Amino acid sequence: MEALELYTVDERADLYTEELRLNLGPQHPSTHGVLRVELRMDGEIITGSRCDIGYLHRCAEKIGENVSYLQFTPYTDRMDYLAACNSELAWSLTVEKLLGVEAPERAQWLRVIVCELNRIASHLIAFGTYGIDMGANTPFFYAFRERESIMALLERPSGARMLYNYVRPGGVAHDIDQAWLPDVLAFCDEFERRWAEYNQILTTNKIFIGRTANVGVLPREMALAWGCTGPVLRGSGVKWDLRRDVPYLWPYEEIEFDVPVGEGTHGTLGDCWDRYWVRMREMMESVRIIRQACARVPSGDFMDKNLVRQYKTPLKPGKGEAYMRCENPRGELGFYVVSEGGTSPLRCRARGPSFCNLSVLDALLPGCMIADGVAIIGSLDIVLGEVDR
Amino acid sequence: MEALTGFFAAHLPVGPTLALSLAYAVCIGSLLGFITVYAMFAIWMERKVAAHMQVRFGPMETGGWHGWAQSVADAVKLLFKEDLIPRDANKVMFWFAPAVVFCGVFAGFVAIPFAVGVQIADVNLGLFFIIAIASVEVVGVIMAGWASNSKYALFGAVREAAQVVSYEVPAAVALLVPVLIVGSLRLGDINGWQEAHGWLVLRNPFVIVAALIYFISSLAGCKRAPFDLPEAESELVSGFHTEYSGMRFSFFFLEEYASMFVSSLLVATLFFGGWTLPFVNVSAMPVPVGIVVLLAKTFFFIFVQMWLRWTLPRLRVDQVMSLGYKYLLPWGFVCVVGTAVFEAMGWRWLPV
Amino acid sequence: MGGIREYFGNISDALTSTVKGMAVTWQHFSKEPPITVQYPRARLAVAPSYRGLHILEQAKCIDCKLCAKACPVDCIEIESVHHGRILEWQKFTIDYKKCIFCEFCIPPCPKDCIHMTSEYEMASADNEHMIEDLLTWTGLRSNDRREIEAADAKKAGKPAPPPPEGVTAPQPGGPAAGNPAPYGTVYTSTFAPGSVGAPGGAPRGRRGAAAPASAPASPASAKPAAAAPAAPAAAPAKPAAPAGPAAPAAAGEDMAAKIAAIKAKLAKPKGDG
Repeated sequence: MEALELYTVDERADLYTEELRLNLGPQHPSTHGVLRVELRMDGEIITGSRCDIGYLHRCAEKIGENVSYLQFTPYTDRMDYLAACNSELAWSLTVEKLLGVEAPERAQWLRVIVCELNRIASHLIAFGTYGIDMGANTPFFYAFRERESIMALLERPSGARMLYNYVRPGGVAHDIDQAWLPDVLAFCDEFERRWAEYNQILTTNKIFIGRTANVGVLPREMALAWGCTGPVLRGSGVKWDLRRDVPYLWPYEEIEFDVPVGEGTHGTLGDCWDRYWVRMREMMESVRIIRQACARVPSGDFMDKNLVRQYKTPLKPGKGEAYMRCENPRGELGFYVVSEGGTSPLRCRARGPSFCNLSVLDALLPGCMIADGVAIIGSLDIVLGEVDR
Repeated sequence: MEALTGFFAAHLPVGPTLALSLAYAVCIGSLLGFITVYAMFAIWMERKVAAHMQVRFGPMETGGWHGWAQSVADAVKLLFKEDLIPRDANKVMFWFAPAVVFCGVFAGFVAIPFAVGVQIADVNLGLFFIIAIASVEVVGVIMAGWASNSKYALFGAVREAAQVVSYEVPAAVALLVPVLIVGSLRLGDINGWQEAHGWLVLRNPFVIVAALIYFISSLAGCKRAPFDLPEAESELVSGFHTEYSGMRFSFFFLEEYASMFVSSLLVATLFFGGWTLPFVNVSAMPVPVGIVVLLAKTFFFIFVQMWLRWTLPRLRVDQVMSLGYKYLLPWGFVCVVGTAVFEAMGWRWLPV
Repeated sequence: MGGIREYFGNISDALTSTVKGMAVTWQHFSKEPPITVQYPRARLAVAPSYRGLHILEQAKCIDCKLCAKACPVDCIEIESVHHGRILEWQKFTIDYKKCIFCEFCIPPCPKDCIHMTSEYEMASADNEHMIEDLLTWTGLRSNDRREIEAADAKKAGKPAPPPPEGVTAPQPGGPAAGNPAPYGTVYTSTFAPGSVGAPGGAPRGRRGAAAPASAPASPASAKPAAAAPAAPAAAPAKPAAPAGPAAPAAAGEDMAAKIAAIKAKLAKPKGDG
């Protein structure tokens, strides 16, 4: 991030214009949290920008080095708070890799279901808030209605509505009740109907297409060069999904699903509409995955028996290091852990998708209008809790 | 107005000048009261409409039945709030802007006929007067945006200026169509014509398009979604009234709802028969029924405005301009020419 | 030609997509009932497994402090004095300003005596209210005190004092008679928490606010003999330990119901859902 140099003004000229500095955030309706963007404006056109992050910094990584392996799980929830299960999964897999254990089969399938449910919930927020960014308030409430169903579903096994702390090293925290899987399937049926409604009110809307198509074009090479992942990368036409390419949970190998990529439907490949549409289709793919997974959940243990015994005392993996990455709703979330044999890691590092995706913002903004800037920030779908950590 | 003056002069021991002043006071007072009560109702209605479109309840507590008193409570709260003026604001302009904004719309109400003879001033250029005086509001908004000394407010004001000035043109062109058919700018005459010849919107297909164009343009004039760029919550925080609070803010609010009323009423009056009803002998109807009919039509169009607002996303600045100049304005001219041809040839497309 | 087609295509697209969107909103406006609830009057059901405010079965607790150690945010503070195998309780607080409801304090408990309820309302205007004492009584239980006094008396060579009037034989697990509430929390709820209550009914009182002022809970220095006759309201202070079937007053029943629910939850077979 280069420092903003002063815009020189030739006051002797007959007509001169001054550059306008606009401070977008950290208290602004559409910065999705506490992002601050310093904009240089020429009228309505953005000529330069600088992201200012860190308003939500909570030393998550440092905390991870001071608490035990198990105790860090709820902190990962609070990084990407919209996709708590997926963050827990990444951490749990890292710790499991360090310990050299694998969760039981039932836990693996349950993890797939809860993580995909959480992915839908997270994309629903992205969809709803994107509508608000565009000035359409109503889709937001429809999205929250379905998200409420997901939260109610996830509340039953986990006991919490947002920060689940459900996926833990060794398996999942609790077993599901008898009616849970049928209820999940019923939700899937309901959700498909609602999804068509979303498209009717927002996706196909002419104004919405006009606002998002050809805006914030992120070419394929640029997306790869900036390390973008998740829907932002796939929106640029790169078919890269860890669930398909590096299946971190083996059930993903046995499930049939597509990886939606942007196709440049309404203009240039990699524009805001493509990213948005990738998310919308991913929700349907998640429904597909959940349907298949629900049919295949075996009976058995939901938690590694040995680890459960160890929960009474802090886990103590041997010396070593581990890195595991997962497909978060926003992209690749990876945890790197170095263990010295103690109860807490020597180094704990998170590679967050929102942080990397946000870095491309400064490159996308110049030349856009301020309304487009809002559209671009929304299409990157960042969670500041995870950007700032 | 004249009737009222005559009434006062005849029944009260006052001279003609005093009678006139009294009549003015009564008219202005009743109009102010009407606008305030209407705005409170419209705000409550907007909240309820929005809520039920969004599977919510909206206000439910204040006043008991479905939160009917919520707007009253809000108004009282706004009146009693601290009067904040930003330190670096231009105080005089900041102070004056809401008044200018409100005056423009308030003056427009003067020329509106609510029913036969229920009108404060029977201006023979009534339509022209309303369009002209409603534009004064833009001046107030620019004043507000400039005086606030806030960049967001300035953006909002500039957007408002560009938008409203652009959309005055298609609106005025679309309004030419009924004027062309009726041959008068007096709103009472247009209503009277529709009593005799049926609703204007049924006259020929171009009038339907003209009604649509005027309705869309009036949305832009009222700063309603999808043209709410001057406010543009997700971009400009609150646009031109970012720095306003308390009573001054309530004036902007009042203005927005009042201009919604005026534009909806114009749509109802000019295209949808005003206080007339199809298949009913209007001259036999008592005056209050006419008022109710007109208000019902007006509130229908206000409802459509709300409905649109809670459905559509917001346009971008350049899209607003292109919609205005590339779509609405040419089609407005097409309507004027088409209607002229229809009228000159004496064609009818419906057997009315 | 392409330009003209695009021009008219734009118009028809804009009109049709607007009408389609309006159809969706109209359908919701006219048909679908609101999904929100009028919160203080009606509540959404909370899952029985919900992780809410904690309760402690104090009679079972052995002050091992494992829950405090398991806590990632160090929000549990425990203080007590051990008189041999008898515990004199001083403090067992959870700071809900810190607590993240992660449930890690539950599994380590060797006696299975700390649980999470479905209670989720903890808003308060006062910071101090956010620190909740889980103890139902502080100090010593009356029978424990008598036991100690008897031991002391025996040591001093004097006869043991007779049991005070108004208090029947030793009540294992019973709270101090001076304490009106069997648990530290008093609720004056007219509807079961966590259920969709019927409209109407006062919002629930702030915890502790409803404790009768006439019967101040006398902490560590509990004088059961004096307090019991003076507080008739607290007279039916039967043992409210988890094993005990009866619980005093409506508030106590509320808590007993909660414990029963928790017991059911704990008894739920796991591993074969």
